[in-house]
Formats: sequence, structure tokens, C-alpha cells
Amino acid sequence: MKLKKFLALSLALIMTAGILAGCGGKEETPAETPAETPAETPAEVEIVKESPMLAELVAAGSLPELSERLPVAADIMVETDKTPENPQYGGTLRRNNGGEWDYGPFTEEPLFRLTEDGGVTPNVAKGYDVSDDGLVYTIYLREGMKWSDGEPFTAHDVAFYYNYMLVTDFTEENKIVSGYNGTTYNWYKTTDPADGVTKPAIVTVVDDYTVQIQLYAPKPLILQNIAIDNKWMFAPKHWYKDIVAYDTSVEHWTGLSHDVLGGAGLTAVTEEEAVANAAARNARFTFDDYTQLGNQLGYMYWSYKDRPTLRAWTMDSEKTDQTYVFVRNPYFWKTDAEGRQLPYIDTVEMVTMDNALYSQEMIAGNLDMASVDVGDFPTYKAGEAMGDYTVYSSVQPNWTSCSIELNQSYKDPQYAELFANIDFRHALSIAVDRNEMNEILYAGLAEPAQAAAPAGTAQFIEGAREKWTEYDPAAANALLDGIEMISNDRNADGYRTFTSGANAGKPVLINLEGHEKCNSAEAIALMAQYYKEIGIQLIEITNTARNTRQQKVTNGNEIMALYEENLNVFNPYVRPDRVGANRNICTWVGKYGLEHAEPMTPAAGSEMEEIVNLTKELSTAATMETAEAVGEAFLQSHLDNTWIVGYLSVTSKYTALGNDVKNFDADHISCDELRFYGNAKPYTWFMEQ
Amino acid sequence: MNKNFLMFALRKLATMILTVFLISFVVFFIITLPPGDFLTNYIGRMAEAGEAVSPELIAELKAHYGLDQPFVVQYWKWISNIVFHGDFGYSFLLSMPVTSVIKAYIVPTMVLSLVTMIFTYAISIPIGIYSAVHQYSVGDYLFTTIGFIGMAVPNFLMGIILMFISFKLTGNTMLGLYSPGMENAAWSMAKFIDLMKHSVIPILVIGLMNTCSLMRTMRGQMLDELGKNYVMAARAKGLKAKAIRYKYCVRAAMNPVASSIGWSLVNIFTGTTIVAIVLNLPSMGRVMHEALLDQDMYLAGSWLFLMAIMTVLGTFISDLLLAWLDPRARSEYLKG
Repeated sequence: MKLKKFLALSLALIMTAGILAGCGGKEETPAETPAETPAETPAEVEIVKESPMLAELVAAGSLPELSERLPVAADIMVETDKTPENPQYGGTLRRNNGGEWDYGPFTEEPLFRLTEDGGVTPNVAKGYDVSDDGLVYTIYLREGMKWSDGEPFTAHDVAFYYNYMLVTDFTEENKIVSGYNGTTYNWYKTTDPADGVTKPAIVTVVDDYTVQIQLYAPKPLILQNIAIDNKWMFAPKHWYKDIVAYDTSVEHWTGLSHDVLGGAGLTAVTEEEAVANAAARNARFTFDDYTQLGNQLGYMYWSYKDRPTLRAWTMDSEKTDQTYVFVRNPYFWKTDAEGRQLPYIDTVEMVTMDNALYSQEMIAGNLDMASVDVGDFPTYKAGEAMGDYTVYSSVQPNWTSCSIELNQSYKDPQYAELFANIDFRHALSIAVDRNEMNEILYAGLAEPAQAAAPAGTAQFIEGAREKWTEYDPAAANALLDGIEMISNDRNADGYRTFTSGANAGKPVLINLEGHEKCNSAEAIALMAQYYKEIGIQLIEITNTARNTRQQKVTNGNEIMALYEENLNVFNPYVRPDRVGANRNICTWVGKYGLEHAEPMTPAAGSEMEEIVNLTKELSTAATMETAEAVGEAFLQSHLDNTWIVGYLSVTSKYTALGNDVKNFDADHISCDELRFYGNAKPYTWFMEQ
Repeated sequence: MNKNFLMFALRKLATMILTVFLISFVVFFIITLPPGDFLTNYIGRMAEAGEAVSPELIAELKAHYGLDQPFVVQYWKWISNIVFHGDFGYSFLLSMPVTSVIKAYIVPTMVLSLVTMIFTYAISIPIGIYSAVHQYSVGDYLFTTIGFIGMAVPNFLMGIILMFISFKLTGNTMLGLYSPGMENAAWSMAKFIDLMKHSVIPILVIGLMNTCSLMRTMRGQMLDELGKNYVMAARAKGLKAKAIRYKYCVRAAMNPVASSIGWSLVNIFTGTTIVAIVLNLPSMGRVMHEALLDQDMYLAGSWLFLMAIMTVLGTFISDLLLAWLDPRARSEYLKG
């Protein structure tokens, strides 16, 4: 594969070079002919308010009028500040297909949209109220809003989703049972500090356009949690009612009547029936079992044609198709400031091909948009003129793109003790020549930096990115010399050894987990050389699949050290997953991150204990101030302890975009929480016809 | 067809079934060899989606999909579903039954492969004959040179070179089978022409790798035949050179070619993986490559298994074909 990639890249380069050298005489587009003498045009040109594609359907009688498709006038969502001058309807945007977590967010329409400062703003919801005690959230929906199949979108769709698809049961062990995709949705659970009891929220229908979320204890971050982790907090009840399992003759765990829970009109469907019904409805909906059915149709529904959505474009292809076509939703409920129904672009095509081919296709003019891998940046940049596109850069809240995470709970206690020593982490940090690495790995495009928030994000701390980054192998050696458990002299191979314990006499050896799909091999080879200078041996554990590595991380104490190239931290208290002990997805926190089974208590008074306690505090934070304070404490702990040793950071997200695509805002922050390109609102882009 | 021939075919069939059974066992063993399984893939995807994955959930899923059971039990589940229900299992990569995946890709794969195969035979056999008859002529040297280049250059590299040439000449790399916008358009003359344009490179690339070797085989076989005594005898009896060549020599020289038709079945079914990726062809190759990387065991396993079945089936067909074509082979087979 390497060879192929190399060849494909070389081809793209040769193509670029060839054209640059050979055809200076590329035809300039003729200058605009001066406008004809203005005829007596009426002072106000009538604005076309819907795509000609839809107007045709309306004229043919196969689609209702625009006014019937939009919500009632007062409830239409108007994209005031994203309205371009003279937008045009139509066109097909062809772009790379980065998989379901790329094309999903591209068209995502959440109930509440997370803002760049960590707040929320209504989206599918029209607005909300919070009761004085912080327990009841009343959410208002848009009257007359419709699903992409024309069926009304109401409060029943929200409550049905929550009560019959998401939180189907609640067990004695305080666990939420999720019927539809097998995972536990913990963020709806709150613990009452008075009695220590934990219960999930209760969601009920107030009227057709009002839903209520009743929390068990105050949780000021609940809307942020919904905006991040359950943005699709609604589902078309009319479409799901025979493919979701429920039994309305049995009392619901909330003890409330099924009618208020969104269950009006439902009777009973077993899991087997649900699977059979789905398969009978369409062969494409054939699933192995109810878990798969739920995971696919219930959760990752945006990959399935015919599933009604609220998105600007809906999937119109089979999952096995090479190009996914997304066509405009005629019932999309947003307009621009001048009343034009969005989106402007009729069709979006997501083209699947080998990653190395996208640059070629961009340069050849066969694609309008491609997400640029940092390694391919020079190729894309060189082809800009030829492919008539521009490479834009947007900020990513990436702490690091090349780092090592030492497992503080590694199963070998001697190593765990060594990793807990801050001098050891600092030695590894200053032993590396970041500038040299940057030149070799990223052609100088990255920034030498410690793992910390980049400028332009709310968590930026002056000086944090420079801390312990000065290349100084002598100082690193001095730090290691001061650590008693490892030797000052080297063995025959040039490595330090353990002075005592089970590993006595053995070299200090770090097994670093990399994986095939990133820069890890090159980076780790360099790191190994720098580490050797200070007597530490580094070996790469190659994981051919990202997933094998992920499973090891999940296990908590299995991995000794992890090479991490994508450390995205949007906000330390809204989503503490990578900076706190919240999840078992990062190695530095190791098993302490496992909130689920057998929580491992760190030594009393240790820095790790502080992290664990802060995480607990955050989960029960009753006020926003507490949450913010915890967030700051997380950042301080990382600043003080260098839990993650970062070497380089790529803070820009590069996008190659055709010059005929207008109204793209490169100044958006690109990250998962903000839905990557979704944050740039693709439905407000248009293509010059 | 006489009774002996039928017995011969049946005997072959029986060994074939036994071979397929053994292969299925080996295939299943191989796909379960690497550490991890499709659940690690599933968990990885969930983690990428930002979901919590607890060890209990993993254990629960393992039990649910029978991954905690011994190898033999898993194997039996797999093979019995294939044999009794035609169910090849479930693809976790695409979240659909493996049979649906195969159905989706089989038509373009087979069309592409069949066209390429016809191209291969249509080109290589006449050239092989020509080269043999005109041995050491300018034409022979020319074709031999092209043949050796074709055999020596890896086909994916050939694909890239042709794409480059196409780009220089037409301004388009001709990636994939259709131009942007054509892929999902309704069938029309324009779409057909577009498809034809885009087919040139894939057919050349996939075709050439077999063409060249086939050309050489045909040439060698023809040369052997042309020097044989029966040719001289026939010539002495006054038969025209052309008649001898086409009625006798070509027929005899075709035997090895016929026996290789069977093996081509594998290629027809699987497409050519690397070429498919480089040229972005909608064939089975690309998906199977991903399946192997992501340990989508049932999809990858079914693919390997079908490849093996095709090879065995191809050999079977070749045997029958040879027995039918070549009287010498026939008498040998029929003796038992």
C-alpha cells in the first residue's frame, strides 16, 4: 500500500509540475463584458425562494407549495448571518467520502447546536426554558415543521425516541438500559446529593410542540451533553413504530402513562418482530438481530436511504454504492435572511476512493471539495491553480498530533511507578528535537509544542505549549540520573536498566502502540533514536487495525504507552473525556478512567487521585461555576504534570475547495463536538452556476 | 458422452467436494488467526463515535455472537449456515448480510472481468500464432518486446502510467467507470459512451497482465507443434500450410490455453484488488481489501472461500474441457 500511495502521490506531483512548466498559456477567463445598459428593471427584483428543481415538482403537482412545506412563518429558522449576496440555487457538490462519521456530521441537524464558546443555541428546537430549581427543561419545537417525507415533526417524535428507543428500562443497579443500540446513555442520569440515588431523566409530551425533560438532580450541562452526545434526540415515530420493540401493556419504567411518553397509538412489538418487519419493509433493512438493527437504523440512520430526516440533504444511495448521493430535503425548515429556502446546493455527492487518489481528482477538476491529510498538503497546494481550487485552513482544538501517553496504571507496577515520576516524563519531553521531527514528518507544517490547547481556543494558556519543549538531551539525562529505580550507567546495548525489583537488570523498555493508518511508524522511529540518547529503549507495537489498538486501550492496563496523533479537546468540562478520568479511551489515565467496572482507586494524595476526584465532582456539579472550576483544574493538572508528552501539533484543518463554491467560512473551528464541516453550515454554501 | 466419461466426471466431482471441505476449514482457521476479531472493529467504531464501551458490554457481545465458543463450534456454525441456508454470515463492516454485499458487487465485477477476458483471448491468441509463424520477424520482436514489458511492469503501475498519459492527452485521469455526474444518471447513449471511454484503461491494464503471458504460451506451444513430425507428414502429403496450421497445430496448441481458462474464473469473481483500488473500480476487490484489514471475518472468509471454490471449480471445468478437446488426455483419463 505504501508503494501505491507513493506512486499515486508522485503522479499527482508530476501532473502538477508538468502543467505548471508546460502551459503558461492556460486560457484566462475572458473579462466580464460590461453590463448592458440597464433596462427598465423594476426596482425590486423578485427573489426566487426555492430551488428550480423543487419548483418544477410543485408545478407538476407532485410536491406541495413551499409555504406548506416550511414551518409556520414565525417558527422558520432564519440563517441571518450566513446569508450571502446573490446566492444561486442548484449544482452538485462532489467531495471525498470520509465514512459515516464524516458525511453524517456534514448534514447533521441537532436539537441544540453547540457553539464555539461551549454554549448551546437552539436548532431543531425553537427555544427552551429552565425552571428555577434547574430540574425541568421545557423545550419548544417548531410548529408545522416536517420530516423529509412530509410527515409532521412533533413532540411525540422526541418522547417516543427517548422512552422507547433510548432509555427503555432502568435497573436496580442504577443502569440505564438502552433498547436500541446497546450502549448506556449516562448523561441523562443524575445523582441526588441528598440521598445518593441516581436516576435517569424523564421526558414527556406537554403538547404537540412542547417537550419536557425532568431531571432527578440539577445538571447545568444537560443541554451541552445533549448537543454533543444525543444531538439526534428525536426520531420519526411513524417510521419506527413497527421496527422498535415495546409493549405498552406493561408499565413503563417511569410509571407514567404511555400517552405522555410518546407511546400513543402503540401496542406491542417484540424484538423478533421488529427485525422481521424491517426486513419485510426493505431487503436493505435486513439485520442479524435487534442490536444490529438498533445500531444501524436507530443510531447510524443517516446511512440509510428512505429513513426520513430533518437534514438539508438526505441519503439517496445504497450503502454499497461507490458514490453516495445526498439530495436536497424539500421540507428543510431553514431559510436565509431573504426567505430563500435552504440549502442552495441541490445535490451532494460523497465519492469513495483510496485516500491517495483524492488529490489527483481535485487537481483534475473532478472533485469540488476534499478534506486534506496533512501529509498531502504540499500536493494539494501545488495543484491549486490547475484544479481551480483553494486550500483553506481552519482551527482545530488539537492538543497534539504527535505524542506519547504513558499508562499510569500499567499492569507492571515497576513501570507504573516509573511513569508516575514526573522527571521521567519531562526527560522524555526534552530529549526530542521537535524542530527536526517537524521537518522530517510534516515538512515543517506542524508546530513544535507540548500537549496543550492551541491559540484561538478558550483553553489556551500562555506558555503551556512551550513548557518542557527546549531540546536538551544533557538535561534529560540529568533528570533520569536522579531517578533511583533506574541505573545511571548503560548496558551493552546502551540502555539504562532497572536497579531493583522484578525487572532488575533489564533495560528500561517502552512498548509504544502505534497503528498503520497514521504517521506513527516514522514518528516512532525518530522518537526511538532520541530516546536512545538518554538510555531508554523504545519499540513500536504495530497494530494493523486501529480497532485492535482501541480494544487494548479500552482494557485499561494492557497498554504500556500509546502513540496518539489526534488529541482533540473541545472543552475540558463540557467534554472531559480526554483530560479527565471520564472514560477508558485514553492511556495516560489508564484504568483510572474506567468508571464502569472495578474502579481502581489511585494512591491517596497522588496527582491521579486529584484527577479522579475532579471527574466525580464534575459529574455531580450543580452549578455552571463548579463545572467551569473543574475544567480549569483539569487544565492546571495537565500543565503541572505533563500527563501527555506532546511533541508536535497540527492545529489547522486543511480543506481543498473548488473556487466555484461560495460562502464557505474557513474561520470555523473544526472538531467532532462542533460536527467538523457541519460547523461551517454547508447548507449556506452555494455553487456559481 | 459415454458411461466412462460420466464416471470420470463423478470421480472428479467427489474429490472436488472433499477439497472444498478441507479448504473451508483452512480458510476459517486463517481468518480467525490474527489477534482480535470483528468485535474489536465494532468497539473501535463505537469508541470513535465517542461512546462508552465497558468490559461487560464486550463480554456480552462476545457471547451474543458466539465468539467465546471453541473454534470448531464457530466453524460448524459458519459452514452449516452456508451449506444448509446459503447464509454466508453478516458483514460488520457494512452492517448487512454478506450475500447482499456479494450481490451488490458481483455484476460490475463479472462484467468487467468477462470483457477483459474476451479482450485477453481475442488479442493474445492471434498474436501468439502470428509470432510463432513469423518467428524472429520484426513483428515477432515487436510483440515479444511489448509482451515482456507487459509481464514485467506491475499492473497497478501500468494503470498509473496510463492514467497519466490520459491526463496529458485529454485532461482527465479517467478514474472509475463513469465521469462525475454520469454514475447515477439513467442509461443513455452518452452514458454508454462514457462507460466505454472509462473502460479502456481498466481493460488494458487488467487484460495486459494475462495477455502477455498467454501470448508467450501460445507462441511457444505453436512453435512446438509446428516442428512436429505430423506437420511434415501432412505437408508431404500435399496439405496446404494454412490448413495444417489452423486445423491441426492451433487445435493442439490450444490445450494449455484451455486448461488455463478454468483458473481465470477466480479472477472473474474477485476482480483485481490492487488495480481496482488504484483505478477506483467498483469491483469486489476494494471492499474485500477493507474486509481483510478490518477483520470483517465473515465477509473476508466468504470471499476467500468463494475464491477457493472458483479455483477448484475452474480446475474441474478445465479437466472436463481437456478431456473433451484432447483425445490423448481423454484416453488417459478414461482408463482411470
